[in-house]
Amino acid sequence: MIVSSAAPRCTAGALLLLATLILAWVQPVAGEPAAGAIAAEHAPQFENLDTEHCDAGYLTLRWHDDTRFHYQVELANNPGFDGDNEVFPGSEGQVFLSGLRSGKYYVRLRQRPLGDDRESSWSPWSQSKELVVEHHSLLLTFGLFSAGAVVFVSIVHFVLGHERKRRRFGH
Amino acid sequence: MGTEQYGLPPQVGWVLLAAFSMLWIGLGLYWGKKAQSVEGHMLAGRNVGLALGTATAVATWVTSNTTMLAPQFALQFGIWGMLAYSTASIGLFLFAPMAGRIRELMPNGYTSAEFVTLRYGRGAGIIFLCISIFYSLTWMISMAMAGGLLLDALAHIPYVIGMSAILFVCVTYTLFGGLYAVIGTDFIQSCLILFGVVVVGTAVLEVVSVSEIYRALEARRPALLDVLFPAALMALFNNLLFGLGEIAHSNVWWSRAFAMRDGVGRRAYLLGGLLWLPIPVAAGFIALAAPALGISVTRPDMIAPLVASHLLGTAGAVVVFIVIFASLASSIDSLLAATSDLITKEVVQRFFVPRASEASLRRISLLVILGTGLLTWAVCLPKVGTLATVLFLAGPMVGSTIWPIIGGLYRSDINPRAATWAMLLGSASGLIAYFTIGWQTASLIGTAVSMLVTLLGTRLFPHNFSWGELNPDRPATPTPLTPAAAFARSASASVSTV
Repeated sequence: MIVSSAAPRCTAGALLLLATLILAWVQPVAGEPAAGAIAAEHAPQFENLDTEHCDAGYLTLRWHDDTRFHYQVELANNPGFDGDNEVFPGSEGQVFLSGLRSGKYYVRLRQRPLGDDRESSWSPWSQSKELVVEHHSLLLTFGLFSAGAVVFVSIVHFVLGHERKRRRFGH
Repeated sequence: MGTEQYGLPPQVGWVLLAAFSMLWIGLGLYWGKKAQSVEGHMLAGRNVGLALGTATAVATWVTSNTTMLAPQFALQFGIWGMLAYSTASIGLFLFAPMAGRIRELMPNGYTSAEFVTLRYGRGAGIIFLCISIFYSLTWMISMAMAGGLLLDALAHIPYVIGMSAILFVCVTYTLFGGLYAVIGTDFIQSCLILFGVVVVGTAVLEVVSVSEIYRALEARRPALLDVLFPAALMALFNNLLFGLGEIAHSNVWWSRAFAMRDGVGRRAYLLGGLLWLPIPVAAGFIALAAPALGISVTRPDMIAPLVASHLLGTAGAVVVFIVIFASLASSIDSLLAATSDLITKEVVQRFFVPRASEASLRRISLLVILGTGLLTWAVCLPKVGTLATVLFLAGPMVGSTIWPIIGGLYRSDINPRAATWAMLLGSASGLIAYFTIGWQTASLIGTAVSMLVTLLGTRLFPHNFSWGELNPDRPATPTPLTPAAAFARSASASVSTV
């Protein structure tokens, strides 16, 4: 009898403990907003919004990567993002831009949950970021190019000239 | 990143890693039977023929950089970038005549540092040794690290396992087979690399035409087509001189010059350069096709695997895996062999056991290979991931060795002190340029300063070196001075007397 009355109490206690554990486990998950909700409410942000300068026409833009999302970066040459701009898709928290001519560019970022292809599921665009591309001066470029050419031609002339002599006269 | 992007299921990655590891180790053990003496182990019996000589030049020069950095150069600097990377083949072309000269001057030589020490004295030898070991170790460490990162990115093989596997395989077959195994595996690896690049390049051309690629670049990446692209023009000769310095000074190339049969080196390096030249052009072309294929670039160094798997699916990813594993192994094994030769002969034997017997030298050589491998592994373990930058720091240092090397090979009047100062001042000025102007200028400035110091120092104080000192078997006959050199020498002597 004692045994039979203790068994249900034990089972109830175990169930209560299990339920508490499940609740404790579920609570943070339930409290965490779904990917779709984040995408709809929050625009992603670049690592920083400072104006970025580059002198070679290429750079990498980074932002906080969340593996649940797919991203789009829009590149424009005006702050209003008017016109037919190039859009870079990605899911790695970074994108590499190159081949930019000297000038001012603007970029912005948005996200949507992976696997959700609806146009409406995109988040709002992030704040835009300014990029300033100013290539090296042609004076410096040609100065270094010419110096390189002189050094290289000297090496070739030296090696081939001495090889020719060596073949003709020995040492 | 991962299977969705690069298309290689992890199981396939593990199978490929295991299969190629067993293949290289098996071949190393097989070829190791030939490597009984020190000369056999270090220099493959000085009997390497044209086919193997050419293949080893191609495979060694195709590093992970050729397959990963050449496409990155094309994406960063466009057509000029593609050409700038391919100028590294000029190093092989110019080394072709030098290989014949090296073999002629030092038929019994072992290392490049041995040449510098005999030619310019111990001080210059130590400076050269420091530059050479720094360059070799950073190159090897950066490649082992790149290997781990690439296997992780391509097939989700954990970094530590991938990096350790590549190093273990290379150390094992180099340990047992020496240069025989290195050159033999290089032959197979160069065939695999050439095959892989042709397959991916053809796949690109099947999908998009050259005119479509051009139109996409013109619309979306216009600067990549600019003839006057400043950064690209600045990088052109810098890259060329970096490559030239790497080949002219490194024991990787000198050991092959010593290992090839008489008369083979010149043709092998010329052919090697010709076969290598299209590889970075093809790799760069693959990268430039990305905008036309609608591929968004997240990491520029991973563009080649991305394009390959985009076009060919899992098959493309398998091809890329094989090419990368082959290019990594072919360079790591060569560096391992050449660096351990350098340490064994020029550090351990020269400073600690000058009278070591052949048997003990062989044992030391094996221990050094093992130690170098372990050191590389220990440095790679923390996954620092920034050593590629350190490797670029070596650019001005190796550039500063070009003139002391070529001057020392062809002219008996090159002043040893001028050569020593050329390496020191060239390295210092190149490093200053690296930090103040940019990496695109460092090797160029280092080489230019070194050239001026070598030639000016020699002009003012010409030396008279006897070529026989490089080869103890040959009678030492001083080379007669040219009238100008004799005049300058007597002038400097009278100045010092005064």
